[in-house]
Amino acid sequence: MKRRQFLKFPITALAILLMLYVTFTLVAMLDVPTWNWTAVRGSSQFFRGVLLVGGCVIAGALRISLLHPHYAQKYAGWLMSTPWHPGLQLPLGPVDLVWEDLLLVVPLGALAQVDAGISLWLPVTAYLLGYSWAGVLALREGRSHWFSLGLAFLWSIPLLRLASPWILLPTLIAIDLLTRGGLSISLRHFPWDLGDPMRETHRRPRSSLAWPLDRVGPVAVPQPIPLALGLATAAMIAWWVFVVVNLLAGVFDGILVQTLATEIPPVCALICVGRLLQYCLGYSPPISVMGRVMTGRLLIPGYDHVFIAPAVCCLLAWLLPRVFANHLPLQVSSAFTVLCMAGVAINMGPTVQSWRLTGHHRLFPMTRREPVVPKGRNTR
Amino acid sequence: MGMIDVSNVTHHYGVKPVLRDVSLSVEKGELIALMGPNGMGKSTLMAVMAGIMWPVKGYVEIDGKRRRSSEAAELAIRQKVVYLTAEPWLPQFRTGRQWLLASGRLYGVADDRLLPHAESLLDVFDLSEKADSLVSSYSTGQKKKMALCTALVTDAPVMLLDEPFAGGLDPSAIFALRRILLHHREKRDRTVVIATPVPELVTELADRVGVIADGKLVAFDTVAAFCKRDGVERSLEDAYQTIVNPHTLDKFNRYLQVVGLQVVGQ
Repeated sequence: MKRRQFLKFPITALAILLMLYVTFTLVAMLDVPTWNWTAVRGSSQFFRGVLLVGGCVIAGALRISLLHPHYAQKYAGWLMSTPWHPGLQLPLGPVDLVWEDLLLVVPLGALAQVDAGISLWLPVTAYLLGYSWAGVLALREGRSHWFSLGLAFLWSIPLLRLASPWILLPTLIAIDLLTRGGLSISLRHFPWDLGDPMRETHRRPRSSLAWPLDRVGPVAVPQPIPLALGLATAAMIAWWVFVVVNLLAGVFDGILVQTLATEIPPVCALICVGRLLQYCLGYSPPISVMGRVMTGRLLIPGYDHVFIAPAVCCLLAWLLPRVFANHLPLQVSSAFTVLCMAGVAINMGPTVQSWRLTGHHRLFPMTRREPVVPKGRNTR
Repeated sequence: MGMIDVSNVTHHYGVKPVLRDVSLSVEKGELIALMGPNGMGKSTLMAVMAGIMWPVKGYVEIDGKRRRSSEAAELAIRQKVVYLTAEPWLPQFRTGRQWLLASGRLYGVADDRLLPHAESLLDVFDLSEKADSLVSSYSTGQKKKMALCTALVTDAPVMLLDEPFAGGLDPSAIFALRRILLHHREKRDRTVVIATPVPELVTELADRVGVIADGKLVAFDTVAAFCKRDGVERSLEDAYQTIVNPHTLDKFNRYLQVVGLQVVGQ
């Protein structure tokens, strides 16, 4: 078997990281009498730690984005013209983690530990964080959701209070395996739909097609989310609420956490109202409010059903915390409230596709632009 | 069953009805011209046919499929219909050629057909030199021409063109568009509905003419039959005035009397 190339590192990004790191170090070494020296040195050390950990996240993401043909369109185009096929090594280097990755992570981790007093686990975890999410996003539409949910669950484990190196290590290994699985699937389906002449147009923002082609032309419409995926997504959002409230409860005092937790349902209700914006921006009622009143058509079912899901969400946000108060622990009641709200917001109809194609609305241009042809200018 | 069937369409934005019980049927390959006074419902009817609006009563069917009745039906209709508004917008930061090709690809036109078609349209409308410039640098007339090219390049079997001859087109572009529409009418390969206020163009181009006044379809007939309403042979312009505004000539004569000129017809 032919030996693969030695892994190429993102030299430019590393050079920028190093330059910033040296700058922070030099600032800390300057001896300016007017400065509050302890504070400057402390904040410089903190920023160096953030820089190293943030650098690890970016390095992990670059690790995939530089070598995966999903992110490099020209690379993908070139690959299509070669005899490369899934199963062979990628010519520019592997997308899976290999031993050379340690050459990047270990020095950064060691530096973070020695200089900023950060645990070695944190840079390693940060590297894997950037790597795994970039890897999952390389999956084409439709396949990435379940992997994303799996990753979201695994990444919540380090935030649980029970996280110890003995739990963290298997979790990181599981994350790596899941990412490998996703990457393997994404490469197995190469060249995806690169040959589809409609692809470029369908992926292009609708605004570039101009009114009214961007709305009534045969443009791609978002596909509805399957019920199982919608429920699983709602459950994952609720699980993360549980994890975060649980984490806060372990760090801050009870009253502060309770205050923060009571704000979660109203914030989620606002997000659900955001769903209404997604539906209604550019899609107005067929007749005006005055028209409804004067003609007695107070309800237009084909349009007004778009308000039901946000209204139910707001109702749940008001009702459920009152029902669960004094009966369930704060983490559980917050999570259950969010589960119900997210379940409704994601799964309750109409779907975006059904709304855009069959809703009883009137379309109007999203942005107010000057028309090309001013009204009433006839040549003859 | 026609290619376009409009059945009992009634619509009002506020209280005043804009369309009142409009029904018409357009056969496959026909070229229909809609005429009518300003603000009387032509553009609203076009918008209802194009799927921009949902009428409060009635429905529109394209090739046997009812608009907005189901997702599959609506998607199938969208693939067949191209709509050019009276006031088209263009993406300012694209070149004309980019926009033209994107529009063609959107309708699934294969590149081996699309590229030469786009090139010849640019040539016919004298846009070849500007094709690779940003749309923002075009004059009003050039933008209108580019919008027309976009509608034509899609090869959509149903074309809804709201005032295609308006908006700063130069005589060459009007000639080119007239010839293209005549060509499609002769070949019977496209179903075209145009809204235009110019009677001479209607006489030359249209198989049938529909007149909308006060939201009602007051006439819908072949051009010849339209000109011979009530058994009296008239020009299309006179026939139109007789229906829409029978007092136009009286008003004109009153005007001439006021300014001291000889009254027409005496």
